[in-house]
Amino acid sequence: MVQLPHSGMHLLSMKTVLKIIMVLAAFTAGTVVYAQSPDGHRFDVRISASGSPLTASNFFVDGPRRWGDIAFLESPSLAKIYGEGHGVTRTTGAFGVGFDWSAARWFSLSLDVDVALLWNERFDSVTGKSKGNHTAAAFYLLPRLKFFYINRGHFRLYSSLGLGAVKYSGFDKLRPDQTFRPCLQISPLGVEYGGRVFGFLEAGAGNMFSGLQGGIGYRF
Amino acid sequence: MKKILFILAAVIGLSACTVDDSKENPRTSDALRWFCADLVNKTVVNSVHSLIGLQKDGKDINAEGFNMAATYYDDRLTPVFTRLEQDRWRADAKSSTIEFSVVITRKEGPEGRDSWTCRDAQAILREDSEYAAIMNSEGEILFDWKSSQYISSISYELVQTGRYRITTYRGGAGVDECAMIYTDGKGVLNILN
Repeated sequence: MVQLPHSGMHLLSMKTVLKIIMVLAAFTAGTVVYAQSPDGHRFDVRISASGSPLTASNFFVDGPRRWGDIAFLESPSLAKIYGEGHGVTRTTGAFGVGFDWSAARWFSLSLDVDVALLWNERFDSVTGKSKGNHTAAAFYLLPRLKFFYINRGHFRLYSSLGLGAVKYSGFDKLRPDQTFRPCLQISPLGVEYGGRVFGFLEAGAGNMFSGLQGGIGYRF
Repeated sequence: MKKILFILAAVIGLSACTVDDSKENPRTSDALRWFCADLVNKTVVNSVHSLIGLQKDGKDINAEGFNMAATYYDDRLTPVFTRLEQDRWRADAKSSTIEFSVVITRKEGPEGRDSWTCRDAQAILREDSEYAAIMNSEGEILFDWKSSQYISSISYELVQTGRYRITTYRGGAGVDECAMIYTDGKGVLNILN
C-alpha cells in the first residue's frame, strides 16, 4: 500500500536538546573566568525585533516536510482539494526581550524570550468566499552564547549561537505532538553600540529569524 | 541615540512588512486530474491487471464457478472476480471508502497478448460524510497492448482507451463534473462544469 510517510519527525528530541543546553551551560560555567565588561556593567536587558521566521512561516502554510515526501506522494483527497485556500502569509517577525550576563570580557550568556505572530486569509476553495484571517503564534525560548571579538568602549562586535525550544500555537498544519520543537539560531555577526543605553543589530539565520535582528538595550 | 532609534525603527518596520507571498487554492485542474486518475487506477486498472495476474499465476479464471479475490497492482483495493460466462467476469470491490464494480471481457490476442474490455464500471468513493465522488465509464474501455520498438527488442505495455465521467460532491451537492479521457494510456481531464 502506498503510504505517505509519517511526517512528525523531530530532528532532536526535547530531552536531547535540554541535555545539550545543560552540557553547554556546565561547560561554559567551568571554563570562563568572571570579568565585568569594560564599563563595569555585568547585566543588560534588551528588547528586539527581527526578520522573517521562515521555519514558522513554512509550518504555518505547509506543515512539516521531510525527505521522502515527494517519492511517496499520494493523490490529493477531496477534503484537501475542496478545503481551505489561503492568501499571502504575513508575520510580525519575532519580537521580545533578552537578558545578558557578561561572564567575561569576550563572552556572555543570554536568554531570549520572543514571540512571532503569523496570519493569512483563508477562503473556501469552492465558493471563493473569505472565511476570515487565521492567526498563529510561535513562542521562542532561546539561551545563547555570545562571543565578543571587539569589546571596547561603546563599540562591541560579536557572534552568537543559540539553542533552545519553540512552541507553535494555532498552527493548524501541525499535529499537537509536533508543536514543541528545538530551535537553533546562529548570528555570525552582531554589532552593539552605546553606553548604558545601547542599540544592537545582528545578521543571522535559524528557526527564530532569518535576516536581521535589531533592538535597544539597557546595561546595569 | 537618534541613530540607534532610527536603526531600530527601520528594523521593526522591515520585519512588520515581512510577507510569505505564496498563495494556495487547492482546487486546481492538476489536483482534480491527479485525483481522477488515481480513482481510475485503483479501481478499473487494478482490476484488469489483477485478473491478468491471476491468469499468469496459472489460475483457471475460466473455470465454472470461478470466484477469487486478488490484487496484483494496487493493494488499496482488492477486487473479487466472479466468472459470468466464458471470457467474461465481474469484479466487485469494497473498502472503507470505495464501492466498485466492473464487467471485464477478454479477447484472445497473439502470443498471449489478450485485449480486455471493461463495461459498466462504477465506483462510489466516500471520504467521510462530507465528501464523495462517483465514477462511471462511458461506453467501452479497451485495454490493449502498445508496442515500443527498441534497437534489439520490442516491449509491450497494456494501455487503456476510453472515457470516464467523474462527479465530485461536497455536502451532498455536486461540485465538479469531469471527463477523464484516455487514449493509448494517456489521460486528459476535461472539467465540464
